[in-house]
Amino acid sequence: MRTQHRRTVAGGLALIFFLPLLAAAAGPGLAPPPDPQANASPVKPKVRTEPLNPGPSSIKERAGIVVFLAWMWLSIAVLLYVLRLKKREADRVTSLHPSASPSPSRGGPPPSHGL
Amino acid sequence: MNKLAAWFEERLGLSAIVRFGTHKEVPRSRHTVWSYTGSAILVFFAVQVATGILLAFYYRPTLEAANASVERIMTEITLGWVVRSVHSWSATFMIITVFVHLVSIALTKAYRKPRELTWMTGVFLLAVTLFFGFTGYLLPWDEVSLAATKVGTDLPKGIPVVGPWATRLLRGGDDVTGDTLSRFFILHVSVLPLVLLALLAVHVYLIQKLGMSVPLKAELRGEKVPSYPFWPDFVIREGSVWLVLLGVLVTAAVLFAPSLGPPADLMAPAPPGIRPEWYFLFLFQTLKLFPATVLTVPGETIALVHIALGALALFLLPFIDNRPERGKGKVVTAAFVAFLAYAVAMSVWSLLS
Repeated sequence: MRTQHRRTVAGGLALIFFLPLLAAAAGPGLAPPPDPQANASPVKPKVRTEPLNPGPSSIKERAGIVVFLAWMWLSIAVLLYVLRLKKREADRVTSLHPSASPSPSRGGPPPSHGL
Repeated sequence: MNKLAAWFEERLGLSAIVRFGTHKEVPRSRHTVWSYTGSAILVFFAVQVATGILLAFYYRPTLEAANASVERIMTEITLGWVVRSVHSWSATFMIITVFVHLVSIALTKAYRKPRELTWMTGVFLLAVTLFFGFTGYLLPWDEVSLAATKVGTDLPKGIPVVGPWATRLLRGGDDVTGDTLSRFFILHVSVLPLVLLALLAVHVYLIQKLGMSVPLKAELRGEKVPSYPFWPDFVIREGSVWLVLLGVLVTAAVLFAPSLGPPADLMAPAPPGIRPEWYFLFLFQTLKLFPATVLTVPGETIALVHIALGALALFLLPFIDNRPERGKGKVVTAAFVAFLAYAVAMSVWSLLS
């Protein structure tokens, strides 16, 4: 019951942290409104002679990138903490029920598990 | 909710997979950390597929439109530059993890009997991964990618008998043209993914069938090696590694997005400072070191024969090192380490020159 509750909490946390990312990916961002002219002729008459450097151009966009990275690493830190708890719990369960876990590996050619 | 789960369970029998994961054992030793590199490769490959599909929505593999379509992805499509950057960086990360995985397997001698086929499919996977990088490099169709592809596709010419034919096959003609571009695009998005998936299926099947290897010393002594269940113990640990790697990938992609050079001109001379991608640098430098001719034999041919023999030795390593516990095994390890040192030194030399 407690484990179920923890799972729900962990799932909720993950959803909250990744919701903005999912929204950005699923939203109109990657599929902008169709522009018939752009689709019909992506070739531009002018020839570029300098390398094109991508990325944010304004200070506002650069600040947005920094905020995004900070938010992402914070989310990762939280998720790593949740996974650490899960790992401890899994290890505890394995040590409490050694019969449920597989027998220790022996030297020599391993047994065939099959799929 | 339970009824829905039961409905799916009745039809798909997914609990069998969970049971399999719970009963699958993973040896727990100081070498276990290297096994995370295997799943990391899969994660990066998944990222490659996802971002590759998004890029393919807008990319046009023609002489006139290739560079312009990449420019459009980078400038007009929302988040397009991020998607392209993640695709590019995940390719680099995937190749790094493939190299680390291969080196860890070689140094721990995990290729020993009965895992020879697992190693051999792994070497094939390395070759396919490098070919992925080679074909993908041309797709932006800028000055540098065109010149590098000309050099790269010219190399097989040095192979006796089949060389010129191989070059024509790669290029779709005598020179790098629009046909080469469409050929590389089809290889990159269709043929190579299928080949990679097929090899991956065999590789993963062999790992499941034979299990993960235990340290050589423990095997020789017949010692028991502690283990834990694949699910959930091992998967949770792997998940933590994936999270960190994905974080590093996104950070690198956002902060160091690759630029796009001016459109390639088939009639223009090669720009100065042409270099292949970092993972081909040691081969590039090796080729540069060979003299034009050695006793009337072209130096390029001799270099290519040496490279082919080296690749064959790598492929057949489990059979060359068939007594890893003896002195021969130590000699093979020393030779492998020497080769690694050579590759790193040549790459650094090429970068600095």
